[in-house]
Order: sequence, then structure tokens, then C-alpha cells
Amino acid sequence: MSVTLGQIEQIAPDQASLKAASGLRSPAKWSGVGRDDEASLLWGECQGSGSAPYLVCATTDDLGFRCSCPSRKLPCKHVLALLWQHVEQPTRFATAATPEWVTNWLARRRPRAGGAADSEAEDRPENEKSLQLAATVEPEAPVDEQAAVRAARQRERTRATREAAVLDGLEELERWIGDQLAGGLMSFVANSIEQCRVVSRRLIDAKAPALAATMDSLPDKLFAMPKELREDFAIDRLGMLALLSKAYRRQDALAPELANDIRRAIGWAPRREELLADPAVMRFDAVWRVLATRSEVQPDQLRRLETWLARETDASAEKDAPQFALLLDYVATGAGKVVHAFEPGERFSATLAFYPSATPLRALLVERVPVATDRPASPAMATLSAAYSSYLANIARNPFILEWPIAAGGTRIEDRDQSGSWLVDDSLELRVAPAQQARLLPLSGLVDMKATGLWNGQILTLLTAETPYGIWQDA
Amino acid sequence: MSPPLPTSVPVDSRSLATLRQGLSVGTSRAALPPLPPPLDLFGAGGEAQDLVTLALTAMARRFMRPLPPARSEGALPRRLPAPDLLPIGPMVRRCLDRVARQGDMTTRSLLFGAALDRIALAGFGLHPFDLPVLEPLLRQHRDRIGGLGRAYLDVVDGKSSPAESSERPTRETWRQFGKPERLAFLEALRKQDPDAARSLLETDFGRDPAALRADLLRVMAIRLDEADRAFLEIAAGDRAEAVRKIASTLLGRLRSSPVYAERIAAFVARLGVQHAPHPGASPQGPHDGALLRRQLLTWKPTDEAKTVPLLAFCRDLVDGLRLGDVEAAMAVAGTSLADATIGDTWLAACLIRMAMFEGQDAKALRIAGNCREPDGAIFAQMIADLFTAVAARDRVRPLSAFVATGPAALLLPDTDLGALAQTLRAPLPDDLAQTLVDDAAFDRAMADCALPARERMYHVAHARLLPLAILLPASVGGRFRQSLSNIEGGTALAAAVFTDFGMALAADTTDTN
Repeated sequence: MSVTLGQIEQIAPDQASLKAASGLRSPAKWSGVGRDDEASLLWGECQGSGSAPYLVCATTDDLGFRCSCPSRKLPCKHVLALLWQHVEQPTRFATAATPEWVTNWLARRRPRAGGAADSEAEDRPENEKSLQLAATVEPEAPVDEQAAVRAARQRERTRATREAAVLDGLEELERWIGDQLAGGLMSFVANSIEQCRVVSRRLIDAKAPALAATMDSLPDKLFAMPKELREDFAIDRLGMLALLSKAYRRQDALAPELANDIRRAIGWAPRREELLADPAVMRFDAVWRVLATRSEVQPDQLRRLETWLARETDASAEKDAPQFALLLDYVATGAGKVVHAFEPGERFSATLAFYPSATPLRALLVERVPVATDRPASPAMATLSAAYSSYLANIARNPFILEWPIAAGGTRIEDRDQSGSWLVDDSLELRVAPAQQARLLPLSGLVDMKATGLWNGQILTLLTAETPYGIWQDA
Repeated sequence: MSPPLPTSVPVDSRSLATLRQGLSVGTSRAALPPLPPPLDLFGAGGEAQDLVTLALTAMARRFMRPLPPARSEGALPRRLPAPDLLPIGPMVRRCLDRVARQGDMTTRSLLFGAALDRIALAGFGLHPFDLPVLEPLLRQHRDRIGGLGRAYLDVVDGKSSPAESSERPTRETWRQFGKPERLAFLEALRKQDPDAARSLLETDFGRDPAALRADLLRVMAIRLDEADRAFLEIAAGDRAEAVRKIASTLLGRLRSSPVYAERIAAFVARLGVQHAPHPGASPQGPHDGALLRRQLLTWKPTDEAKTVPLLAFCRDLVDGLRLGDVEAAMAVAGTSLADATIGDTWLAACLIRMAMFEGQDAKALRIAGNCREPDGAIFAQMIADLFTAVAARDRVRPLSAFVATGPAALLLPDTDLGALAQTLRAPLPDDLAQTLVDDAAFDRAMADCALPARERMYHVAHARLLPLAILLPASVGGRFRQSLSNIEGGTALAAAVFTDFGMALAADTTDTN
């Protein structure tokens, strides 16, 4: 059964959605489009404003759909655009093997009893929706040069105001740290929840959102530590914040990459378009494997979505090429159910553009091509000691790293009951996060594991491990 | 990229420890100690010095190699034994995870238990990585989670030593293990070599606590034989009543024992005939063979039967008794009880149980077919009960007799599907299930479920969808899934999730084979 333009108009929530969908019909915005006629499936990946494209699929027989974007309008503009393209340019949708993310959605989906006519939009007869109207290209307004100059000046004023606010915020942060030192860090640990909440709010007011998020999450991370390590962790974090505050005032004297790290740690970040337009930005092609996805709500009510990637190395890879990458996306907390664009274990070939940094890690996904899920055996990995030395080398370049990936082979987990779980090999032992101990018990005793985790200076959060029982992944 | 920087910090660790202590205590109590070399090169002086000291201390400590705490002498890491069964595959694991999170606690427990049964039937085991996540449900179904699951719970509860959790019992070491391991080992040995198992149990039998002795003695029911009589007679004189009771029960199943004959006589004494003999029949008494074909055979229950669960009572009453011995005690010449018209469902249950115990499946089927106006709920329980009694043998035919009265009988309100599902602990045979879903009554019942409660003709409550999902095998899963799609509500969704699990498991089994 094929879709018609009339059906697309019918299911669209409103005219604004159709208008937005019209702007997404360009093939340049889509990759990985395909179809399966037997299953009446369409799919594609649409690049949005986030670091990763949105995964969009639909069924043509009963117009079921799914999109990984956070939009509350159903169907969203991406689904509408996918269907619209299929009607107008069906040849773009080549018959292909159904991607696993589409299969997974289909397996969880219950068929719609009433078919395509059950759209809620039917109940709003007063909304006039027209694809023709949505596709109309409005003439561009003539460029007003004076307005452009005024806008540039306003942006500069805004920037200067924000810089001043940040500096005030950092000054207050230093006073606050001094107060904590006066009372002693033992006392700070006990009172950290209230203390950090207060200073986090002030940092939001000071237009330093990333720093505010770091402060806001500090108590949770503190109490996730084993009790005997909490004061050490407090020293580490507050010491890093004191250094960050000093460094921010001297960023002009620092290497540009490190200055970028400092500014991002405060909350300055280039926009996606700016980054992609910068020819100096490091881009790297490789096959990447998704290690883990995580999400966290920040004090500014945005949900931070993390996707951790590991590069599948090969003999021809550049020696200094980044081994790991982090994709970050932010969605409003009221945007409905969180849907990660990727599943742990997924593999794809991609070009990543790395944010300028003394230790490149955060990246944007420029272009992606799925690869076979069956992958060759991963190559031999370094010892734990060598991986730890690599971590030390990175924090020597960038002391503002909060956590860093560590990957090692030939490791094992030892569950020492009251003493916690440890990732060990013959060269080193690293304490694993207490919250993971229960889940790691089945791994205890398994040998020759390839393990990857995030080290925060005190404890390791295991992300994934290749074991004789298969791949273990953090929930 | 710039060349690697030095990653060692030549700072005295004792000095760093002193700084750490000062930071912990607080500068209001005492000034921070001075920075040790070479960190003292970065001194800022004045009010800012404390922050500088903090920052440098933090940075220096980052480069210290992490040291694990000292380990207790002889302490071994906790670990689990290797899985004794092939773990379920990734798709089945995902489906099982959905089952485990579906609905309220009662629904989750019901469906998860059924899922465990299916996994065991398929010859698989739980995946080790799933054990921690499933722990609350594992505890509710300890008898169904297999050796690895029980070992996991024991390790978590601190009930077995690290060394034990990585080894298996042997005939020499089995006493060193906990009760679950010992029971499992003895059961396996008893199935394989009954005499060896008995000898093992006999050795130092009195050393174990009474409750454990009773549990271990129950294992003797497997492949019970006259050779076990001597040991059971000793156990019948045990100091613990629980042990004596079990020993007596088992002795009562040995044909050579006086108790057996007493049980046969007691059973026959309660048989009765409901109607008058047929005209022209020989007036030789109620148990005349010719009369049996024309009269209703009934049974007078004891007072005890009114107060305990009837199926359990039935089991205690007839387990181990042979139908042939009952017939011989009735002195019925040339006629089998399988030809009698049975007027009491409980009596039919007892006779069927005895026939199945003897391996007389055809007789059991005839008895089921001769049961006049069977009570649906009781009959369903009975069928399920005899399935568990003869687990290794073909289960189809007794249930076929029941379903032959009409496949939709399984859907009738008075058929206790829940009890059937929970006791059966296995899906229906494929051909039987196919007969059921092909019947028009099935479609009517499922369509009925989609209606509001007050409009339903068959009064098939949504709650019955769950045992139905548990009873229907994967071969009809797609058909059942389709019929669920029109039914709203959490129960229908839970039934669908379980059905998906069943189909995934069947596909996994097929792939493995």
C-alpha cells in the first residue's frame, strides 16, 4: 500500500509541521534512506541540530512511525518529510536490508487497530493543512546592511556582558571555595548537597552553565564514591575548580586548544554550524563502535545525552588519532521520553569533527554510514598500566578533564565483597564504582576480558566488557 | 599533537598526606602546611595561597599511582560457578527483560515464573549477566532458576564461600555444600544410579539437622524400589517426626510392605456404587464386573479430604499404588476399572494417577473419557497434576480427552486456567493448541474480551489472558498475538509481551538446533 499526499496532510498535527517538513525534503539533509516493500517500511536519518542525526522510520500500510527527535508533535516534521519524499521521489528509497534500529522498533510495536485513519489531527477539523502551501518558497527579504551591523554590535555587547558576568561568578566561586577550605573538606562532604546547590544557582545567573552543571552534580558524584575516598575526591574537584577559575583569567597566555577547553568547561561552546565551517577543525574518518549512552538532567533543566564511542583501530590508523569520542546532545526535560540515537554495540563508519581541545574528545557527527553488526574480533588492547599512563598523559595536557576513557585487555574483575569490585591485571588495580558492584558479580573470576570504562581519578565506571559470556554493557 | 609531558611528580608522598590532612581539617583550625618542593615554586602568597595549595595538591595527587587497600589474608574474591546450561540468546534476553518489567508485581511474578519454566524446558539457562537485574524475581522463584541462579543468590546472601561457588559437589565433598547444592546433586545421582544415591545418603544420615534429613529423604521417591526398603525402615524409626513421616509415606509405596496393602484396602473400602444394578445382572454384589459398565462408580471422601487441598490429598492417598492392585483387591473378574463409568471427578483423578504411574496411558485416557460430567475446575487441576507426576512421558492424550469435549472448554469461566497454567508449568502441545485457536469459539472468546465488561457474552475476564498466554505454545503465538491486538489494557499488553518472549525462545531453540 502506498502513501498519498492526502494522507500526509491528514496525519500532520498542524500546518506549521508541514512547513517545517517542507524544509527537510532536501536530500542533503538525509542519509541512509531505504525501504522494505514486503514489510511496508521506510527509513532514513535526518541531520538535526544535535550531534547525531535523528533516526526516522514509518510503515506505509498503517502509517505507524518513530523518530528519535524530542519533538512533542506527533508525527514530527522528520516523519512527515520522510513520507513526503517517498511520495515525490520514490526512487531515492532503494530496497535495502532493514537496519537493526528499525527492526527493534517493529518488534516492540503493536499494530494500530484502526489503520492510518486514526490520527488525532482528524479531530481538529478547524486546522487547515496543505502540503502545497507548505511547499511554497517565500521570497527572501532584501538584506538590510545596517540591521546586520546593529545585530553584530548587539551580539558583541551581549558577549561582553556575559564575560563580565562569568568573571563575577568565578570570583564568587573562589570565595566559596575559600569558605569550604576554612571549614575543612570533611565538613564540606557532609554539607555538600546544600552548598553545591547554592553555588550552582549563582553560576547559572553568571551565565556559566557548564560550570553550574559540574557543581550541581558534584554531591551525587561524591556520594557515589566509597566513603573512604570522598575527601580525596573533594580535594580533586575543588582543586580543579580553583585552577579553572585562575586559568580562565589567563586564557590568553595559554595554548589555544587548552583555552578552548577552559571556555567549554565554563559554558562557552561554538555552535554546530560554526564548528563545521571552520577548516582548522580536526575531522577524522573511522569505524566507530558505541560503547555506552548516558543521560543526566542539568540544573538549567536541559537533559544532557552522552554517546561514548571507541574507534576500531587498524594497522593503517594514525598513531595520534583519537581513540575515543563523545557525542553530546541537549534536549528539554519536558520533551517526552528520552530516545538515544544509538544503541550500545552499534557500529558505523563516520566522519567526526572534534571540538578544538588539548585532548580531543567531544565531537560532532558529520556523516555516517552503517556497517555490518557482525564485527571482526577487536584487536589486542593495552595493559591497564599502559592505559592508565595514557590517562595521565592526557590530564597533564588538560587538567580540567573530569573523566576519561580507559580501555585495557587481559583484565579481570575481582569482587572483594566489602572491599568492592576491582578491575585488575598483573600491572595495576583500579577500583570500580560501588554502584556497579552488584551487576559485576557475574563477571568476577572471568579472565582475559577487554574492558572499557570512565576513570574519574578515583574510581572507574565500567562501560563495556568483552567476556567469554558475551559483551557486558552498563545499563 | 605536542610531545607527551612528564607524568611523574617528584613530590614526597608524606608531604602530600600532610597537606591532605590540613585540607580535611580546615584552615580555620590550622594554617595549611607549606607546599613541598617543587610545588613551592608556584606559591602565590596572601589570601590566594590556600586556593593555590588546594589546586596544586589536587593536581599532584592525580599523578599518584592508585593503591588498593591491603587484602585480608586468605580472602578469595566472590565468584559464581560456570553456567551449567547454555544461556539464552540476546533476543530472548531482551524479551525476558520486558517480561520482568511488565505490569504490577503479581503479573511480573506470574509471567516471569512461566518464562523460567519455558527456558528450562528448552534446555537453556539464564544468562549470568541478567542475574543481578532479575534478583528480586529470582528470589520469588528459587525452585525454578536453576543451579546458577541459586548459586548467585547464595553468594549474594553470603551463604557459600568463594571457593565453593566455583566448584561442584562430588560424592566425597557434597557434605561441604549448602542445601540447594546437596539436593540437586542427590537428585541427579538418584536418577542416574539409585543405589549409589541411597548409599551416599545412608552414610552419616543422622549427622544432618532434621529438616535437611527430611528434604534429602524425599529424594528417595525418585526411582523408588524394593532395594530401598531396608534404609526406609530404619528412617521410619528416626528421632524426628518429619523424617518418620516421609519414610512411612515412601514405604507405603513399596508393594512388599504391609502399609501398601493397607492403603489398597483403605482405598477400595471407599469405592461405592451410586445406582441399582441393571435388571438381569448377576446378584453378586456391587463390584460385579458386568455391573461396572452400567453403574456409576463413586468414592466416599474422608473427613480429612474436606480440610486439605484435594489434589494434595489425592496424591497422598494413591501415589505409588497400582491400578492393577486395586482391581485385584476388588475381586473384579476380567474387567478393568478403565471401563467403569466414573461418577466422581476426584475418583477419576485418583484412578488416572494410578494408571499413569503404571505406564498404562491408554487406560488413563479411557478413565478420563468415562468420567461423567466432570467438574471443569477440578478436572483441569487433575490433568495438570498428572502431567507433573509423569513428567517424562507424553502428556498429550489425557488432556486431549478433556479438550475433546470441545476446545473452547478451556476458555469457560469455570475452567481454572490459572491453576492449570501454574501446575502444568509447560505450554500445551502444538497440535492441541492449534485445535484450540482454530476453533470458532476461540475467536468468539477473544472478540468478547475486546468488549466492555458489561457487554461480554462469555464473561471472559482479561485476567484469563495471562494464563492463556502461558498455556499457548510459540507455534500459535502469532495467531494469539493478532487476536490480542484488538484488546486494550495492561493485561493484554502483558500477554502480548509474554507471547513475544515465547516466540523468541522458540526461534532461539531452532537456531541452536
